[in-house]
Amino acid sequence: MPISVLLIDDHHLIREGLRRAFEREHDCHIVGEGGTVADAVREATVLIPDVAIIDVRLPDGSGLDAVRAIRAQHPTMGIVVLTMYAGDDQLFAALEAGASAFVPKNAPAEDVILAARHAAASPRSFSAADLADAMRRRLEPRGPQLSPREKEVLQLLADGFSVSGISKQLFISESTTKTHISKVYDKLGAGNRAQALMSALKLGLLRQSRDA
Amino acid sequence: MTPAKFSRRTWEVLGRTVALLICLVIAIGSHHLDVARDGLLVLVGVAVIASVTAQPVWLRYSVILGEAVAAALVVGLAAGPPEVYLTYLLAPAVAGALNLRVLGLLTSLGISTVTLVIVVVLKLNSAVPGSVIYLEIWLAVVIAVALAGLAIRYMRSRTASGNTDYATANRLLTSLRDVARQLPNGLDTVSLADTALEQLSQVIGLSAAAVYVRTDGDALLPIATTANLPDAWPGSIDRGIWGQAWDTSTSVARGGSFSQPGKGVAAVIPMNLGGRRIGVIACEGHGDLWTPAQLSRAQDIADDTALRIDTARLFAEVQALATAEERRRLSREIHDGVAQEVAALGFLVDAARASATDPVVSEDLNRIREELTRITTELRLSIFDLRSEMGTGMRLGEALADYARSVGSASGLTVHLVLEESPARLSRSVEVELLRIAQEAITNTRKHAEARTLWVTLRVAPPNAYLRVADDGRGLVGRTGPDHFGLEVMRERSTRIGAALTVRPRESGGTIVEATLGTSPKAQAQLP
Repeated sequence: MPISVLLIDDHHLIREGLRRAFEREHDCHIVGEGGTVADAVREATVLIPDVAIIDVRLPDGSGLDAVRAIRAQHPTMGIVVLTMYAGDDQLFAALEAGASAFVPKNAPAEDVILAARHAAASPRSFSAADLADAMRRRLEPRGPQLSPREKEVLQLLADGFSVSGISKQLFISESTTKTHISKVYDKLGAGNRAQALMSALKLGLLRQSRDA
Repeated sequence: MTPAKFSRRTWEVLGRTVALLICLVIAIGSHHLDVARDGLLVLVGVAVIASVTAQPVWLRYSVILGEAVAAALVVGLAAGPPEVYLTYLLAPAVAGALNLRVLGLLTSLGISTVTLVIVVVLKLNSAVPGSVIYLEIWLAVVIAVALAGLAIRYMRSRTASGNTDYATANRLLTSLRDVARQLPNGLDTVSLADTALEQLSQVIGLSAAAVYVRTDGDALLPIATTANLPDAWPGSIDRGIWGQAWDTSTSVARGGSFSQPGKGVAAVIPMNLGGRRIGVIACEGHGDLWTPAQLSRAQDIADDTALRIDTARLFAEVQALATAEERRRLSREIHDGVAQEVAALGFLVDAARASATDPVVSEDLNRIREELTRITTELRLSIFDLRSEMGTGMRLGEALADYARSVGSASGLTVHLVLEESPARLSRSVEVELLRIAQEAITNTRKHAEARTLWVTLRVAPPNAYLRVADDGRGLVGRTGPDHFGLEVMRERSTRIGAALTVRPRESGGTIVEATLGTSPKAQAQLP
């Protein structure tokens, strides 16, 4: 049985292009079209398609609202989010709204069809071309970047060493130690040791005390 | 004396005179002048005392209320028929209304009425029932006047909301436009602050000085320093003479400078604007402590600067609002218009590609599809650029990192970020311009450099900042045409915030774009 597809985009040229592309595929057929959030929610309930393809920006609201509404009622419907917007935030917003796939509009129609097949087969998973990279970028540390030496100095500050104590531990001069400390303070946006340690703790830059 | 004060007192005196004249006419007309003479003289005395009291304000208000009580006592107790004196009760009511509007009117009427009621009740015991009728007349007058006062107030408040706001805004914006066109220093906070430092160094001898403005978080942000002071002293409004000057709104000087507490002198001069302080000017000198006269002149300059800088900041905010709105509009327009059409064209070509049987046609369609994908990608990134704003509470480094990572990954560039931001922040308008310069430089790299690596460095130590965008691409050679536009835009933005922009080839290949704000050796030290 072919995959039934509902197409929601307020630009009729986009719908026409995608309809033609889908019509060439023997395993898919377009059962309905619409251009608003209201259309999307209504048609999804009436037609119960296997897959709904929804644009993010619609005249009466965000397509993601339509995704949330449809997902709440139809836990196993495939939902493909289509957008002109770039940026990882868009991808994660689609994921959080409950979409099954995310396709940017600069991708070829083949990608949209592949995403629709994927969404029909496993609606509760999530696929996107850029997913792995986006995840990696999100996991990258966003806070201040300390050099290895500065990390050592920070750890010794946390362990309660004085400036001279730190310089003895690291075999560096006291003035070098002071330079490192002021760099650490600068990068952490702190004015003193307590503030520096507080923000380092919040940012997860500190290990627990080595003795403990 | 301002015209407003003059007219109010004139009205008060006029009101009392008219009231007294009416009393006199009634007395003469009813042939009671001889009986009522003493009472009328008392009223004249009350009127004179009430009219000469002008300062302080609380005394003026008390005198009006005293006048109301005294007049009521005369009406109730003085020899002669009460109707002779009754009119004078309106005099303190008018004075009250002139001074405290409806509140003054009602208080004055209330006090005279209460006094009158007490007196009449006491007199009833001594069996003179004739005066009750005048109390009734008076009560009717009080109710009528009070209602009129409230009605006027209500109508004022209704008209005040709608059009008046727009009229005020219109007037202010018009003068703002004129001011922005005519002011010698324009409305740029940094050059205004620089001018203030120049003036200050002419008026009082100083070796170094810095202008700070207060930010939302109650921190002091340095916006200008004298040439010999690369990094401003860290000041805080809850510490030392900084806090003292801040709390008292007056300049505070001390022996011992900020940089060498054992030597020289230092002063903190608050910049006052009305009841607010918008920042401080800190300065230090080598000589003796400044005299009170010198500090007072410095204070004048600081207050003058406060007004200018605050105006400039307001203007910048208005500009930023307009710019942000325009960017949003532009992004919507591209998004809803040409971008969708090109994307749709792409899908149509995809359909044609799938049904093409001739290999030559297929090849052509593939090439068209490639171009369309490239254009759509460009448009998506343009929309992304236009939509990327500095979120509230977002630091410049974060915004820059988000942007560089997203764009870098979308175009296959490896991005290396070095961000060093001091806890103090640049002003928002400067941050936004720096972000836009970086965006432009990164876009140039992405579009034309054919680079593999992108280095983005940002160092911020207000009022100084250093931004560097470097790549390992094919450099500036042979880049003409559209590139110039990007450079032009970056130059305009740099000029707007007073930053120096350089574009030069990277030694081992590629291009380096640098924007330097202020001249801080610290900002440029230790670059890869």
